[in-house]
Amino acid sequence: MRTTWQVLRGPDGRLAAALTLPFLAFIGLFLLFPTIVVVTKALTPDGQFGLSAVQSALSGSYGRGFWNSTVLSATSALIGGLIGIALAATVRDLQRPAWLRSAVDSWSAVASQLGGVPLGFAFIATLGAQGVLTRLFATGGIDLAGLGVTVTGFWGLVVVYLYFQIPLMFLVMVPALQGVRRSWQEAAAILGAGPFTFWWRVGIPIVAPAALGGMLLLFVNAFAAYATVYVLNPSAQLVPLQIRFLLQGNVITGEEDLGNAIVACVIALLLTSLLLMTALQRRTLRWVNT
Amino acid sequence: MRSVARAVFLCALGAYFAIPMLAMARFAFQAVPVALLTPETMFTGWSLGPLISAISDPMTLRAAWISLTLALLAVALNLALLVPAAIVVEVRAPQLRPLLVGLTLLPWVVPPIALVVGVAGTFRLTAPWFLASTYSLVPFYALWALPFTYRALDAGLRAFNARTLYEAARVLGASLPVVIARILLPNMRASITAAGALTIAFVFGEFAFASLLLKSTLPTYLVVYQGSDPRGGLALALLVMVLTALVIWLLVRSLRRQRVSIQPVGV
Amino acid sequence: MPTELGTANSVTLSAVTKRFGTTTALDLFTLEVAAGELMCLLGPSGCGKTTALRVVAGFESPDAGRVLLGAEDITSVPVPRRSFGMVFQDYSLFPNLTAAENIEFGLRTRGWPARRRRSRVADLLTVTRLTDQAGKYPEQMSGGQKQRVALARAIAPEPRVLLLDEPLSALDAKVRESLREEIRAVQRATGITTILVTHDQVEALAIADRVAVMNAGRLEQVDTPRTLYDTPATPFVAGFVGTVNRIPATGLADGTWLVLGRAVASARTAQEGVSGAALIRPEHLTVAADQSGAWVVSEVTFAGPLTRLALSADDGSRIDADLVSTGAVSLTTGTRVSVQLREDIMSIVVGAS
Repeated sequence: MRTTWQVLRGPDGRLAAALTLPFLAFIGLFLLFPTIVVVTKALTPDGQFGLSAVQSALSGSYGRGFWNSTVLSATSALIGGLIGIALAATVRDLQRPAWLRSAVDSWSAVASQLGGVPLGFAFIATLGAQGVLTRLFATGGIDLAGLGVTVTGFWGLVVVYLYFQIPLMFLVMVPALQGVRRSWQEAAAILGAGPFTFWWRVGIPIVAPAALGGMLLLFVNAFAAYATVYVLNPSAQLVPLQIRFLLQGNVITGEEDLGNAIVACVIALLLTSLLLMTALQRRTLRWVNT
Repeated sequence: MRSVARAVFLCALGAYFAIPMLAMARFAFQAVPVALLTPETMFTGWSLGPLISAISDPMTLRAAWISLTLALLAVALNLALLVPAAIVVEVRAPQLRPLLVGLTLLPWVVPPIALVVGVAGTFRLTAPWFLASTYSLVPFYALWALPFTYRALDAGLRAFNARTLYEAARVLGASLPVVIARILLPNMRASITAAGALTIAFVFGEFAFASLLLKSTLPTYLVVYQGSDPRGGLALALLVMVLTALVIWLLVRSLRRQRVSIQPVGV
Repeated sequence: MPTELGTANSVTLSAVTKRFGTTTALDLFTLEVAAGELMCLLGPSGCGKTTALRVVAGFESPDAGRVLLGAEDITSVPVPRRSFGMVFQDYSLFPNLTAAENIEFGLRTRGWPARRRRSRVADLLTVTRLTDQAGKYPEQMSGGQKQRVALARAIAPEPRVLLLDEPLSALDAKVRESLREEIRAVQRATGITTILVTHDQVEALAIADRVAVMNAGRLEQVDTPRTLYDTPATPFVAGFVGTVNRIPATGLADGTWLVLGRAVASARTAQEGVSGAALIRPEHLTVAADQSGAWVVSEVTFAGPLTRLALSADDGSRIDADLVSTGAVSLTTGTRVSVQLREDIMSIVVGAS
């Protein structure tokens, strides 16, 4: 790291280094060190290297938990991603009414941060056994629970997660779509291309990395979600709830390694997603800045 | 045809986002069970009673007070760590910026539950007193607020060309601490406020850390309270939600007016 | 292969009016561009020149008036069906396509067969000296290269009209000059009717067959560069194209104007005793050292072949004079001089004083 040395030796070098030190120490103590400890423990059950803990973390009921979490996260990321893209594209061409654009912007900033306990409550009041919509559909002769739509079931959770996934995707896509310049569209038009040709050959290829990156972000977001599902269905077979169970009941020594192994697997999965996301967004930025 | 499709799409989304809020409000403020809800009973039994009794409960106030304290401490810790680091990297070592971006993104890779497992595993043996204290939540919150705090600060620094200002001030003979105190910090007021407000909103909604470490903050208290008084619990949750939304909304608006654009997510 | 120079590819804007909210960008604007001609729209920013170009392209539809291509009314023909080519100020190359693919884009949409597409792209890459850039993406090219790709892309489908919207303004001086000549050469070779928008009068004079000077949504004058420069029709044109001095002029009984001690004719006939301001170009003045002269050299700016003298009179008024540098050696700062209108200047523009 020659550059780092140059920084240190330049004017203010030591002071500059001293100012970043607390931050680095904090990250090291509370993030990197615990992570390394967990991963090490996961890979060394019984004090020596072995994959037995990781194996049991990915099999049996824990394996099912991983599968459920992945499917739930992927489904909500895909659906939320598509609706979020559609919303961003709709709002992009919207001139009138003027208030609508800023309303959607602001609401997305708010809703993408909602979630957690209150959101869980809100959906219990809507789709729970005593929920308003459940009751409304029942009056019309439709049994929502019979159709598999309950707040505790898979599709119920997807519907709840969409509440913060759609706005998050919208926030990701708005700058990406703004990067598609009007003059590209004009250039394409004067070269004889209609809107369809333009989007197929130019617009979509430019936006695609941002869209995929955004969906990975939604995936990570859903995978880590804890509070909402805790309120809606604490016994659901999902990874965060299983870790909690192990964490609070870990008296048997073997289970501690298991908990660490699950956590290590989660970190590996999310790290991969994040790296992929970063790479994709780099690509978008490069194009958009041309 | 296209505009009809567009209107239907927007209305459907609007309904999806509005109905749960309205359902929650109805459950909290209307003392009529859903089973008995008919057009005639639609407008009966409304009252703010559950909310009033919920917020007048001293336990509620205590939980809110704890959350507020934690939020302010988390903001202080977060800014104390990140503001100097963000400034130094922007003005002195821009080539290290990608590193800082990457580091501040890491909390997203380690979900709260995983972090608690890791930290509890290491601290339980070395410093058990640490996890016993309510304030042990502060570093977790500061850590989780890193991604958006750094983004806000970074956007602020770039909005006013901090590096150029730093170089100009250095040429005029100012030392780094003077530049930071007299020039950079005053210009960063908007982004610091933004970072702080987002952190506060986050702490008031955060459930996972507090629940796993068995601490009583406003969100964990909400769950407990809702168990004993369902309607009051929902009224309280609605209030927290509305206040959070209000904070974020005001923030977005004031930032837009100051032309600081904050990319809340991504790289 | 120059196309036939019939009237089929002439462009006419007929009494076009375009408003944006309360501002009127084009006000009954009428202009005829002959087939095969290179017409420059010149004017200060906000004069409506870009709007005029965008109306021709079809991006803006006029509030009133018509746009004709030859004899055909194309006012409501959609953009993709106009078969025009356009070069934008910011290049507007598609960032996800290579140089060659950008050039090929319009050929695909126009349904050219693959073999013809390939040879057309290869030809254009040669003409614009971009053959070694064919596989590069826009972000990997310099501004000048990007704009050459944009030019090749615009003319690839053999459009009937080429529109250039400030194509050189984002480039630095050297590149600008060479690309300017390149545009001119390509235009000559293809004989394509071309409209170029610019705010740079040097560029307009250098490149255009005719220049249309615009001001506040209206046409001030349309003429060849030489006519425009030598006999500007209005004070605005005189002031916008080249530099001018405003020198007091007095009307004489025979209808001419007395300027710097000489009687000269003007399009505006003088009445005896009326005073006006003659608009005189710096190079239309002669300066000679003269102990009893009315002017003093206050500043000398050497610019290679020419030297500009800033002169001030005792009453504080100032004028500029351009002299061939070899004749200006003795005229240093502080020299007292007399100023005259050059002998060969027969006619001047006079505005209100």
